[in-house]
Amino acid sequence: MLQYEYARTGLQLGLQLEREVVVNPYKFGMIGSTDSHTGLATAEEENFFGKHSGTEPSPVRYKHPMAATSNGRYESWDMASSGYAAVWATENTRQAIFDAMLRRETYATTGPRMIVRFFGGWGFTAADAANRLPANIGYKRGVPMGADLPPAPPGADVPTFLVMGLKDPLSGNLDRIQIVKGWLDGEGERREKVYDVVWSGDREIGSDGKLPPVGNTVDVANASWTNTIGAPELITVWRDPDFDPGVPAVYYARVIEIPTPRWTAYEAARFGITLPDGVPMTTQERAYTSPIWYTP
Amino acid sequence: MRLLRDPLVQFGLLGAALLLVYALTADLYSPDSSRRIEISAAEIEFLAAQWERQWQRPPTGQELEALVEARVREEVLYREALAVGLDRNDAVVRRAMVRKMELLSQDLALLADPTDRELRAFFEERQEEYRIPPRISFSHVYFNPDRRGSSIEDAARRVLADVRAEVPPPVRAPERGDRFMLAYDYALLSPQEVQRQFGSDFAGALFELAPGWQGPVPSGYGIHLVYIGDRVESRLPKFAEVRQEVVADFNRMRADRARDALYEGLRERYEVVIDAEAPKTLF
Repeated sequence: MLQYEYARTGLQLGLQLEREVVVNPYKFGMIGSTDSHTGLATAEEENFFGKHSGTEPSPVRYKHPMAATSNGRYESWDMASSGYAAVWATENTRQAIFDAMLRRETYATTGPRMIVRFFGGWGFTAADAANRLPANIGYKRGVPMGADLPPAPPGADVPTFLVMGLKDPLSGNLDRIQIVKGWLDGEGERREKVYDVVWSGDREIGSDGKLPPVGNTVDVANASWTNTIGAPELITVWRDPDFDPGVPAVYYARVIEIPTPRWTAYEAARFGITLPDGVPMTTQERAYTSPIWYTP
Repeated sequence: MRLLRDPLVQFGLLGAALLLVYALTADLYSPDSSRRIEISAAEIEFLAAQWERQWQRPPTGQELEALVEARVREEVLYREALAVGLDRNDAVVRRAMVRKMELLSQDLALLADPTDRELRAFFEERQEEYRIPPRISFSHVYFNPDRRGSSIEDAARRVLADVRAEVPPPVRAPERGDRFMLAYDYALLSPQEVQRQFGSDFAGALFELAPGWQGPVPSGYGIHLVYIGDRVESRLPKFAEVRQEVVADFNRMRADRARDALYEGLRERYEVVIDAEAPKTLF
């Protein structure tokens, strides 16, 4: 962990600042983008054309640093290719898309076109995850990603979240969905916890509280994988087991794919080269949503 | 008139025209005036108009003064940069000038609008490129491999037998399979649209199927039974339907050819020597 380097730290800082200045200045949504300087939409690992122009696929590209200054050397192989911005708009018009971004009904992916829904409310039940039109229930009985939880109705005491992910048909299956919660403790300090809320197969959370890895089907030498592990879609309703109605909290969902080849593996296979030890050859692509906020 | 169609000749003519303009305005740039910068009333009006287009109001006196001062500053620095040769050996300047050469040749190629006869001939030669893709309507029943495991194929085949046996057969039956986050019914999609949502294998298989209940068809998500409904076959369009596209393509071809012809003509005038040994030492 590098302090302040993560979006989720920013979300928690927002909760702290809200106590001081009354409004939360860090109430942001999530989108993904390439940050590449090539003018190319090459967000997939298998078509990654480099961050800067001049570092196109080649047998020597991995030797080329992303930046080398007196502050240090940043290897280009340290970065995976990314990403896309997804927007839940009511129609495919400029106005509807901008409206959706204003209400932060957006999510990010690191490249695959996953479909992700995330709703918060006070009365979702397990049956809602078995419904054939879960988004209808989500909008009717809750709020979507990017919104504030409404005040708890009488009788409700714990927020519930309806979360679902559908894989990109051209990419890897799904490993798991996590909900990342940030909140302030009694001293007003930033706290965070990552919950595994639904996953593929019949894995069970171990005694260490962790879900075992999904496995790995990547054949690095051939830069290929098989979708024999993981699930095409995941859906569940999650109740926050550690909810304290007295403290502000922020929740977002993260959908994680099974391991697939990274651009470094495609490069090695295409050019028949061997990359140095320590260069990652697989990655777990993911989507992460705009948060839903709870304010006491 | 054929001579006029030669891009090299066109280019020469344009060069001559530029020289003429230069000769008529050369006193601005004569050596005597190299230390003299004149900002004419016309130029000031131009600066004010440009401002107004951007800000939707005329500039104030102070703003106009600043605009003129910026213009002077640009001219001073530009002339000094030229004087010390900053335009030479600069990758950005080189690229901009190369691009200008190419654009000039391309603009010349597009001076005359293409005739209908040229467009039709162009279209007939490559009709296949304008082919209108087929479209298909379908409803599907989804089977989730994570939920069904190894019994998935059997389950799908059982449902297929059931829907086929019903008289009349249902036109949709999503409830007989698993939940699916995308839609169950699709109206007149092209192969590209199907591929984007279901993957290439599914799209390829779908368009080979006969009407009615078919399957199982594998996709990136699992397997599906499909009810094939309406279908619009692929066809070649008439010229009138795609005229606009043809004009754009024809012009692009003309522009590319003019650009390449110009380059090839110029290239012939050079002796190019490439060190054959160098590439071997690079890798």
